[in-house]
Amino acid sequence: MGKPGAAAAEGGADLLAAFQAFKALGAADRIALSRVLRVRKLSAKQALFQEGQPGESMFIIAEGSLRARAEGDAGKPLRDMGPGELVGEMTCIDPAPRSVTVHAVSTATVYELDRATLERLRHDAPRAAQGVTELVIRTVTTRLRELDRRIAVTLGEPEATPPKPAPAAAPEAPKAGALGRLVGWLRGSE
Amino acid sequence: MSIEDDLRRIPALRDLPEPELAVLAFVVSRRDASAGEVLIQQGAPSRSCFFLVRGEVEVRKTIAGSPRLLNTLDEGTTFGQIGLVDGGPRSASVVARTPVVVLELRRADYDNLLSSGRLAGLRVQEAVARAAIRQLRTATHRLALLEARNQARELENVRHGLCDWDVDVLKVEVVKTGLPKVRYPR
Repeated sequence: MGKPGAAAAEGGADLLAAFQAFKALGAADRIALSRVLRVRKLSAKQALFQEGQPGESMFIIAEGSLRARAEGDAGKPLRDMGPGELVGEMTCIDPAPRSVTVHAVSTATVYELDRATLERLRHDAPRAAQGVTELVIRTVTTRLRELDRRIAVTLGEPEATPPKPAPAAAPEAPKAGALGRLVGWLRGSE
Repeated sequence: MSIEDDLRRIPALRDLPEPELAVLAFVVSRRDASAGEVLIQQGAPSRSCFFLVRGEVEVRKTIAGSPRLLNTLDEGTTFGQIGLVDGGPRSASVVARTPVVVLELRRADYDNLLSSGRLAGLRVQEAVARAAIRQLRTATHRLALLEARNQARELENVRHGLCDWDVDVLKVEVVKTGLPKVRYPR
């Protein structure tokens, strides 16, 4: 467990300012939030939490990258997450066993916020708590849209067509002008 | 039955003090729908979320041309919450399974509630977060099942392939051993 308040000492308030969800917060709220975040340093390959464990905390990644794996599926890597992203936010808001195992890919620093602290924040600094919840909702919603798309594709729906790339070097049309007319005339007379 | 009483049927809002409930009651609109009525249409632009006060609804989605029943939601559930967040098209339809009472909260009112910093806003936001998380869990489970089913099908195909091959081999054996023994005249 890290030291409470260490995030404030590490300039956590500045990191928080970089999040869209925390932009609307005043400096006082950002400082209030960074005071309750605990800093945790992870060494490479160190696990942050294991699938099936009860989860109390969510983590904001400050540095490094983390990888989520599903134990049941031969440890298949599910996704990588980097600075500014949230990890473990679901069980923090809605208690349930952790659905994945998350470990650090390289050395990483995360800021931890547990459920009880979030609840306290709701009373002491409601705007800060609101910023956290908004970040959770955005994270979950983005993943939900992505999952919906994958489910549709698995069920045989064609993938949404990406914007059409510019047509690749089509055979050049004869240029207008004297030469073009000559080429056209030659082709026409074939 | 007042809208405040309706709001108390939503677990996240139950413990709100009276003045906060009154604020919320002022901004939501109550809607009674009969069984079969469409509350949310898949693909339509989303501008609101709903609290299910009474009755049950079905979440239906047409995927790859086939209609599917994704989920059934009970009293006290929040639905349509993604619409409050990204404003994208509705990902599924929601249809009343029984006569229902819902409270609709429009996006603009949700945003105002949040920027007011009121407790009502915090609680609604919590309900939205919880509903989104549960929806994500259901979707994760569904995708895992679908992928497992596809894998099982592939295995089945491989097994069938092997069987056909085995049968062919067997046929050859039958053909070989089943030949009437030719008796040569002594």
